[in-house]
Amino acid sequence: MRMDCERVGVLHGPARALAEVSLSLAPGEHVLLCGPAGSGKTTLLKVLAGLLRPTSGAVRWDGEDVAHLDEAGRRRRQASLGMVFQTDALFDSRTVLENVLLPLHNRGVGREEARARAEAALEAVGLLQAARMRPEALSGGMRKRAGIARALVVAPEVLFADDPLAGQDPATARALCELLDRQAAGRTLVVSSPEPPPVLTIQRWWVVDGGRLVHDGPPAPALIGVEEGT
Amino acid sequence: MSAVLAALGRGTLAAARAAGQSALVLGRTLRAAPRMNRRELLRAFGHFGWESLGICLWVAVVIGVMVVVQSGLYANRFGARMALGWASGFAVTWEFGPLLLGVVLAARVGARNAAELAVLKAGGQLEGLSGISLDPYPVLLAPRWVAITASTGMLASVTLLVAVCMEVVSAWASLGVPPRVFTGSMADALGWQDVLGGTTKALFFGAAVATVSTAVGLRASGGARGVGLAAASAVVRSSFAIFGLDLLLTPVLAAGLSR
Repeated sequence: MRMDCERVGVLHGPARALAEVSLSLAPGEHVLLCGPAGSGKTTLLKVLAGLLRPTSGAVRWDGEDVAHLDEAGRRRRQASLGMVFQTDALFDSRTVLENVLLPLHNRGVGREEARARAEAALEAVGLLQAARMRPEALSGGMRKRAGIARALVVAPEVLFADDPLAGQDPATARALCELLDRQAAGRTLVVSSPEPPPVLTIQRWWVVDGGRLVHDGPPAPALIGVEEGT
Repeated sequence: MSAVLAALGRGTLAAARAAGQSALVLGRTLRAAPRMNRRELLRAFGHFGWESLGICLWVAVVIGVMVVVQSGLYANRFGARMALGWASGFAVTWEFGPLLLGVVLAARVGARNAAELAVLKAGGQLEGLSGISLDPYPVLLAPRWVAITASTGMLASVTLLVAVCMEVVSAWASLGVPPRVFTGSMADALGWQDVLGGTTKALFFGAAVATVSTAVGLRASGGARGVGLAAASAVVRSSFAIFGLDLLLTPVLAAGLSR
């Protein structure tokens, strides 16, 4: 799926979260979205994923204006997107397996097939042994991996990961990056992070600051206050 | 004077906004109900219905005893002990039973539903459902609404039955009215319409609690303070909705069922 933003602006009450952001994302591209806390990274991801309607400008999926899609049409198109949330967004009242099965609800996937796909997704993130546990019993890193499995179970064309390394220790962060790197093959990937994640080698960076896109191009560590080579 | 009018205007606008939000939630919930997740429905029945049975039985016991003790004072004073069964039965089935049950469930079920939804909203789970292209209404909200409403109707039937039994026992124990006299007076003047009227009212109260608490939970913002406010607001608004509905439903149902 090709995604385009044209002069997108988002207001949260009187506060400006995004201003005049224009960018394009071609199928199969890998992008790192970085910038300081509160710069608009999460807002931009949500706008791209159709979870937040921009106050101004337009977001297009394969040339189609998202604002012109009805709710059913938007959900149908969103079915090819996967989102790993900053807060992992798992339901503690359900087991890990039930959480991963959720995206397959009402998609015409048979019970056996859904279960097989969910277990395959859990195996891919190394969590099959925790399938029957509740998310509240998992560590932060395991919860993130469960969130990644839930995003992967629908075999998304585009995978968004919103600050997946937040609050993780260095070893877990490295393991999560390796996992994302493996799963990114053959699909579009947008990872947001305040600083470049370890292991992940992404050659296109979007840098946002104060709600504006200040860089769209090759890695520019100096723009986010990181020394080259670190 | 202008400050009073301004406050009145603000209050009216807030009430209209809350009513509008609740109407939207109700509309979307009813539209999603045929597609709702059955597993979540079963879970919600256990969560909101079965787990509320204990408190409803306590309410039934209290109502049964309270109504007989209170009306017994007047029955004794005016020598109308023969009418005690009818008066107490009528009071419990039509008024005290549904109303007290509704208010207790507003506090127990409404606050719980609103607080849970507020936590799910703050934790990103509701947005997470949209992120995996799922509509929260059939997956999460409609099952809760149906379970709360239907549970209230079922719990009302049990509560009214237990309350009436408690009336019989308490009339005999505290006033010496024989059970046969008490139930005879009750059977002479009360019919199935009265029980149906009370249960129907409770069903509407359940729908009000479900709608208001869902609307409040979905509008919550912030952390612990937001969750606390949502729970408190759900109880207050649900109680107001119950009192308003009681005022409207009593004459409508009485007229409809007496035909």
